[in-house]
Amino acid sequence: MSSEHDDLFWAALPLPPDCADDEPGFAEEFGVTPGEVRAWLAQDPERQRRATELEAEFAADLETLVQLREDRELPPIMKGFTDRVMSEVQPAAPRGRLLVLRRYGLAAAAALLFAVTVGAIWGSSGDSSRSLTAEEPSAPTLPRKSSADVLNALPEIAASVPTPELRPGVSPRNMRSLDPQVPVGRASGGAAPATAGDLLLRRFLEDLPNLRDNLEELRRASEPAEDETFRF
Amino acid sequence: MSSPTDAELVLRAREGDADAFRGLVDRYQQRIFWVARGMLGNDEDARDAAQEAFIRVHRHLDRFDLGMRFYTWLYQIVVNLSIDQIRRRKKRQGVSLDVVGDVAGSPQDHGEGIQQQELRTRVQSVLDELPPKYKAVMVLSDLEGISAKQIADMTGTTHATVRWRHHRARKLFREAWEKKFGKESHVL
Repeated sequence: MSSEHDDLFWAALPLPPDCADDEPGFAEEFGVTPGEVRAWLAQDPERQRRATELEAEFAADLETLVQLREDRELPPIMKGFTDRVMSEVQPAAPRGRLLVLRRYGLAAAAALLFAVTVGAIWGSSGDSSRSLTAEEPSAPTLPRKSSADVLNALPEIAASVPTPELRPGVSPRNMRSLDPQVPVGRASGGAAPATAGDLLLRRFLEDLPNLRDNLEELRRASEPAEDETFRF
Repeated sequence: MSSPTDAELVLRAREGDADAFRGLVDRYQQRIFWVARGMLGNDEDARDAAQEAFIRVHRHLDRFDLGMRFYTWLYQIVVNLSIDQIRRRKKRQGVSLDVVGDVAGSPQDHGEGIQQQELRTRVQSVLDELPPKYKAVMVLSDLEGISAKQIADMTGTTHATVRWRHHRARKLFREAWEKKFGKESHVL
């Protein structure tokens, strides 16, 4: 037999003692089956002796490695390890909730602002200089659970806004039915009295800067810090 | 009063008990560190891998099968993380494993004798030359004393495969050792 053939069998030594002759997987790893190795060893006492030596050497290796295992202790770099881990895992949940709150809170706030704006515009009975703030009386009645809830509730909110004091026969819902003969704005030359549509347009234009400022402020407040977005 | 089992700590940690999770970290950090250290060859990478392993455990606590041993799961995670890191390291840097071995062997004050430290350094430098699948089996079996059956669970292989790999790993280890330190340097 060639030395190459012998090398193949030596490579499979020592055999694990509880290894079956036809142990699956062994041949794929070593090219020979445990049964073949045992048969090959049995052919030559010198091989048997060498195989026993190999086993003893491996056992000695194991003893040394076990000793290394028992002697070791954690290096200084591991000081405070538990605290490090805990600091990574503990903020995860609250931070996530905060983010969700911020996002949905923003949507709800934007919807609320929109609803308040609609109310302010339609409610033409008040002072035209009032600002768009949470002090609007209608604010506490609006649902705050989610943006979807708020948006769904908008028709109801709009319906609950008091009808502006208009001329008899005119309602906010049929503005286009206003008498086209009545001059409006510049075309009126300043002589004719202001109509409900005129008042609405003026109120909207007056409140526009406030609306823009408030939305911008909300947008800034909603932007999460970069490192929070992809936390666990 | 007996200390809580791993499963009890896991259950409590699932319910948000931070102290329970802290208990698991305290209990296993040393073993997990040394597995990672054996695989990665240096303290810093080992600490980072151990930390990442615990973070992943925390993230997936709800998926943990309580019928499984907790430390089997934890070892599995840290071994996989270590193997991934070894592959990334080789791909990214093309660093010679000899260099890794030297880094691993830098003097550190672990309270060990010079000889013991030298031995550890040599063992690590030879381990670093083994392919990851053999290295993992050898670290878990010879350095950590884990049974072949448990290693099979951790590495997702069969019991038989672990044993063959173990023997193959030892053979490769011996060859690498003799090549590096000579046949006479029979520390192992």
